[in-house]
Amino acid sequence: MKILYIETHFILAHARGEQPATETVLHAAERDLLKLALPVFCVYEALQKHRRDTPEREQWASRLDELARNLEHKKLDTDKGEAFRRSAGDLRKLNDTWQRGLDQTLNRLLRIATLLPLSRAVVDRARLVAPHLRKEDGDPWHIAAVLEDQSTLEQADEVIFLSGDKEVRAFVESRGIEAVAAAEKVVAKWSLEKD
Amino acid sequence: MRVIDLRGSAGQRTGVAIVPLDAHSSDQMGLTKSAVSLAKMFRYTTWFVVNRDRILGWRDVDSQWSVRLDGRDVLSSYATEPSDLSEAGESFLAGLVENWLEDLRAHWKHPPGKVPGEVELGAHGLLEELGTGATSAATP
Repeated sequence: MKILYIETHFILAHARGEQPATETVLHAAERDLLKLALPVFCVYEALQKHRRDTPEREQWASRLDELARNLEHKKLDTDKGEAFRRSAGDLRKLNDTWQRGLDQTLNRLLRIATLLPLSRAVVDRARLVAPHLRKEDGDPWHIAAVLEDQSTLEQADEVIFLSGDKEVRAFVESRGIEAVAAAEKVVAKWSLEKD
Repeated sequence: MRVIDLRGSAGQRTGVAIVPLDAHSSDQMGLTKSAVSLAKMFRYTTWFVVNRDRILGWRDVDSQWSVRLDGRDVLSSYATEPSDLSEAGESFLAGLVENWLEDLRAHWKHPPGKVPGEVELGAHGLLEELGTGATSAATP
């Protein structure tokens, strides 16, 4: 049994269509070629990041719309006004596209992935992990959820931990778990089909 | 669903609920009912429900809607591409609605009396309920 531990970045990259390899991985998991495991904390973190970034784009869009309205109202530079309005629309479309993508990605992941709980044991272990990392974010909870998943780790033939953070990968590797930086490497290592 | 919160000319609360329709929300009637329940819960005096197909306006949320406009007719003039409206999600739709409300207030795109829906809203006494246009987006 192959186990791939995924995280927040995987969810967002797939939702935004930024890394085609994430789709290859998801598709392979849907065909039972591998098992995905995902700390529930990462689902929360992905939603938080998405909700934090969305209003910022909305504010930019509103500002561009306001500039466009002023130009068009005063019949100043209507071409520029339309360009502002188009840019505002593009920012809003991006929000809508990423929202739809996130909904679809989570729907698929919640159907096929094993969710690792944020239990008391995970919180306690995260406290021990935190001093080993320089950044203050959710990485200790992410790592702790995986390290607490002992029963799965013991049964697995092959395990890969996916993380874009070099320090996190180094910590996990120091605990004997192979870590890679991107879904592309998982696709290459496990020879997953790209379809 | 998001709500644009407005103050009418006499300070009364008006809400404009943006209800995008997509693969996950094909039940128009159900969504409209939910939106009206929301209006009652948050004690809006006047209430609008907007999706890309229609705009419904209530002077009194306990009774039948007062005005019904074709969403595409009203909103398409604020989209840079006519096809944009077909795929409009919540954020994009909200942008079109904000531009429409600003047009009703300041006539930045159409002259007075020519803003899409303006005559119908005026005939039902709903124009003044849209107020000064001091808008803020909020999700209840």
